[in-house]
Amino acid sequence: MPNHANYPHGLFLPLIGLSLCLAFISCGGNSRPGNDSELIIGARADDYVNEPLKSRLGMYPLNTQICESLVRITAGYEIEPLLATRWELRGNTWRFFLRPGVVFSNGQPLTSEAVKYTFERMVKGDAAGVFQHTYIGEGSVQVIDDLTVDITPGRENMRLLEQLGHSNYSVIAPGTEPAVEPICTGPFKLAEYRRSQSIAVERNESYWGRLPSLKRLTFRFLPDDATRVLALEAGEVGMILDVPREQAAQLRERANITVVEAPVGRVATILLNIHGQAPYDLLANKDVRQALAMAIDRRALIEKVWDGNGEPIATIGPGAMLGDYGPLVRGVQHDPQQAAQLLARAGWVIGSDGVRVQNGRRLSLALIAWTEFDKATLEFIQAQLATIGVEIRIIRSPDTASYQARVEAGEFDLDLEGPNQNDANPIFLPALRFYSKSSGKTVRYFALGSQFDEIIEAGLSANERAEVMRRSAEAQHQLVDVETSVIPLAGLKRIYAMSDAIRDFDPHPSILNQRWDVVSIQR
Amino acid sequence: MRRYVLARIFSIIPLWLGISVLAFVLSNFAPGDPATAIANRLFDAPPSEEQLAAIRHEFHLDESIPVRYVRWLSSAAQGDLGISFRTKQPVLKELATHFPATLQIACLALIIALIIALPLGVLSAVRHRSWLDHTMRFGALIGASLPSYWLGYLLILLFAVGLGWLPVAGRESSSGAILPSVTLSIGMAATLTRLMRSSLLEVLGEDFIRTARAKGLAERVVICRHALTGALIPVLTMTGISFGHLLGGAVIIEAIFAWQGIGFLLVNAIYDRDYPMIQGFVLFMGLIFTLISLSVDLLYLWLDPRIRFAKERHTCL
Repeated sequence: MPNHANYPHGLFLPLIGLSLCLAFISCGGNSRPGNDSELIIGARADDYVNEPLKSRLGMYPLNTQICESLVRITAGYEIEPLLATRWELRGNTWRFFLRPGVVFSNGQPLTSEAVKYTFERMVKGDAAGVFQHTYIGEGSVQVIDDLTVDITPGRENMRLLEQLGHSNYSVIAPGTEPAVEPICTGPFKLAEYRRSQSIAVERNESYWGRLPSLKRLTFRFLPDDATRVLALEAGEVGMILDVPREQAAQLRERANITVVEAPVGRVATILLNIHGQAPYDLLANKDVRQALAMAIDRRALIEKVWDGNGEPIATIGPGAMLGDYGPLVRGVQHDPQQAAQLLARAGWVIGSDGVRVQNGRRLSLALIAWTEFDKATLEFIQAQLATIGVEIRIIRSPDTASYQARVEAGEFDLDLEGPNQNDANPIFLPALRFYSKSSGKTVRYFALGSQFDEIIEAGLSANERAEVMRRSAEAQHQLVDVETSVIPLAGLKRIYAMSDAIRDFDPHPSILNQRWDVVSIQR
Repeated sequence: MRRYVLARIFSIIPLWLGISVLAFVLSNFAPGDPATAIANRLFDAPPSEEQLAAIRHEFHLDESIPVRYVRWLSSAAQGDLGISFRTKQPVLKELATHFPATLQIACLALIIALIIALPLGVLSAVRHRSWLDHTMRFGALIGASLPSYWLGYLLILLFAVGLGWLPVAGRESSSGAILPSVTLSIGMAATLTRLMRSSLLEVLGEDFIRTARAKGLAERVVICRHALTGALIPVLTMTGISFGHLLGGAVIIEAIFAWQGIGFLLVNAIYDRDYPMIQGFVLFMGLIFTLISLSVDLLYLWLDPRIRFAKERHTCL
């Protein structure tokens, strides 16, 4: 037996102590969440493209208000003047009258040349023409005088004004390149950009409008959802964007933290593959599609799975996009009994394992989804459809690229998405995803046909916004009520959490149009 | 001896070639179109076929895989790993920018793990079957079983949210490396503690140790001078392998702690199907792994005369 008394633990114990102490030494203290004139915000991953001609630094997908577009989109998706004070439509030419007295953060005045430079740079930035949806190309922008500029799309585009509110169309100073430094007219100007770490902006003292109350605004990129929440709880940041639904309730219970929800800016929607090739051809039958829509209890999804963080909705986009015409889209009511009857009528009988069969073929459908949708949501849909004898095979994609590969190949029956409405074009979503002449690669699985296309074309060419809304509502009525090629599940709300000291934050349904210049911090 | 070392070094070349083929072929066969991924970052709407064709042409994605492989390999041989689809920066520059961050936490984690594991493993072995041994084995079992992401959140909750001593995430402050390093080190420390213990126990049972004790040497000398030298060899192997894994596999920890290291770079590259970056990463990490493996092999020669003599005999034959 060895003699323990002689063993050299006296030498090792200090080392153990040292190792434990290592975690405690050199504690530099937390970075401050900001003072009354500085706010630090925890944002998701840095996804800026920052290369010459293509850079959208500070503009997209996180708009820090360094730059401004010709028009702005309100929380109700209305257009209001920004760098253009008014506009006129003459044939296919849009004439914009620029705001006088506006200067860029480098002192250059805003003139029509800046608008021309901005759009020409963007067109050069994409060999195929970035502006496929606006049809702006070379020679589309004509300078009339210092403060008047004409934009003539390559083909008729009545929706241009509504599209130009998107932050991708922000006006930059002539001769400058945002990849080097975005020089614009916004209420903030770039202070520091550290790729993948943070972007800081400071108040633009030469701003033409009301000066922001914050002197400095820093967005820290914290990609992990839980880390972002912990950073807020630790006081490292004063506000966080994109609070995960499952953590919102926990944060609401915390003292000194306020949780706010933006109005619905997008809708969780199941798109049905109505033109799929075998084995993805089961949804060509309208009775089957309607049965699926009737079998899902959307309220239960919102209340039980999403903890109330959602809103019942019948349309495929925010309700504000349809104005008074929203009620034209009735939506499908939850009625599992009728759903079962519809399936029986279509010849699908319950098999030995509870799944319906027809001529030896099982009613088994493949469900794919955007990666943001959690397992619980997909399993809820699976369980709801199981009650009417429909088997759902959940196919989870590890990332967006593999999801897209599958959806573009048409290897799915049901596709759960949550597209954003980031511009003010009321017919944007129906035209993008279901119009057979859309340039989208997946439209061949969803397009309804010539009658539907006529509605879209009427909407695209309408002058009056109310008429566009009516046409969009008609189109959505076809999609949801008549053909049931789409099942809207619920309106999704962006969730923010912040320190109690933050004031005047008014959440916008579209993050791209979120205003930071009005935010203040209580002393 | 010199011939053995040279042969060992030259054996790396075919290994790298194999790694390069695997890196290139596997990344190209992953589902998902890089052109679509690039377009999605540029536009806020699904891209048209024309846009995708322009992107494919710009990045040579319209060429066949063998043509692209040969071009890539010949450039790589000259130190050019290509341009990242995502950032438009040279891949080598991106790797060089992000690698120090990973190296920082990996080295710190390695030091912490060794500081914990070596003394605890030795203590556990020399006090075999004592309460101390049982406690340490139980602790090591817990440490090896804890999922690192869960431990990371626990440490943040305790030291950042609860006590406010350390930052939650990020590299802004000098103390930002502590939590990710400690998180990384725990699992490694647990494994090395168990290995150190079992290896030392095995050596302590050998004849030469009994001889040393019979000669009247102090127990401290028997352990430190005679037993530890032999017992450290498997620990050294495992340390080398674990260090390689720390460098290449700190992906989750880097995501939790917003630590812009090489794992962070790889995750973004995979999401965006940034082929040059994925291929460059795999080749780079292959290089690091083989160099670590080579270093460990050479350290064996230095540490264990039996191996050195065996190699000399082998090379003479």
